Amino acid sequence: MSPNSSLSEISSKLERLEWKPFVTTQESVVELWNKLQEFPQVFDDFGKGNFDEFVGKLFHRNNLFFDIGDGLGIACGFGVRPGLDMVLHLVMFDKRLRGREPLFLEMMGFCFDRLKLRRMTAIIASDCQTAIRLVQRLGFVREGVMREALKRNDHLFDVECYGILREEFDATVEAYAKRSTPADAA
Amino acid sequence: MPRLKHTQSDPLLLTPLKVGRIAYHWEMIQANVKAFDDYTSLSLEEFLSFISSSRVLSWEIGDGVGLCSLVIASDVNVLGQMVLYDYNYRDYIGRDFCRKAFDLGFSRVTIFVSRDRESAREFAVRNGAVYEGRQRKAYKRGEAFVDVEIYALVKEKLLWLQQQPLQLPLLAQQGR
Repeated sequence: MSPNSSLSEISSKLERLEWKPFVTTQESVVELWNKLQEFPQVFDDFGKGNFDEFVGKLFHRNNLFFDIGDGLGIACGFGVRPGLDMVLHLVMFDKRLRGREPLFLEMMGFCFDRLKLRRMTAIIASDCQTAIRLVQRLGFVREGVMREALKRNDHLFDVECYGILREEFDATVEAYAKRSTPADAA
Repeated sequence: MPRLKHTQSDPLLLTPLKVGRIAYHWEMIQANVKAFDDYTSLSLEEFLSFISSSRVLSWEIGDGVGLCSLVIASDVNVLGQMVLYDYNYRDYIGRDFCRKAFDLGFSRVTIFVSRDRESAREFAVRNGAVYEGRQRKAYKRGEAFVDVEIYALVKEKLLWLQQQPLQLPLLAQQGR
């Protein structure tokens, strides 16, 4: 059983969540906009209350978006540089991240393979500890801290930069696959 | 292409980039692709899209001596890019460039420098930039991947700025 196929099996067994390219219709864009209002940290770089900027990012040629579980969440790849890098963002509207790592790794694997990425980046405000713990579980390595790089509600926050190289991603996938392999029967 | 030779005397001024000058800078950057990392990874279409983006502010340095841009990353943070065709990275140009960002109300300028660009790193550090991290294999040069270092100039922590009279942010000057 290959690590990537085992990820699909694992994620489908845990809960039947599927992911697919986000289809932009007027309804889906407005629905997404409304859902994101409950996640102000997403607007750190997703338009900050400016609907026109938000739509602009949705249609930018270097960004891609995946719908998770038919509106349960959204995964985004910003600033895609094929053959090199993209910046990963993830929002689950039921606020559940733990336990869904195989699903997230599956989407990351799709991007690594199809875009032939060398690495992936995650940029997270220092007060978003849940997101930080998630990317660490996904194998990202902290690469730096941009001091006072973000302002939210009149407070300045540091922004932490995380990166994962292709080989580190492969190792994470293998680790998850081994963790989920049932013990040999006696 | 060899470095630009010119007789313009210092100080070179930063003037807002005019639309009619974009083609000139595109050609100069293409002629110096190996010398620069900023702007060079962009195709012509991407360059035009980048320069004309509402989140990018660009200035010409002197009369065609160079080009610099601020990319708005957040309410407080801009990313700085600069190319000088005579290869002479004068410290005062770096400081004038940063002042543009601070006068516009931003409180930090972030600079990404490929690890093998010694002179670019020295230029940033001479102007007070502080090392903040390293993105591994984040730039492709030819067939090789090189690390990219993150540097930043934070307004409150810049000694050379504290010694200068501060200007009100542009919006405050306009009474907004």
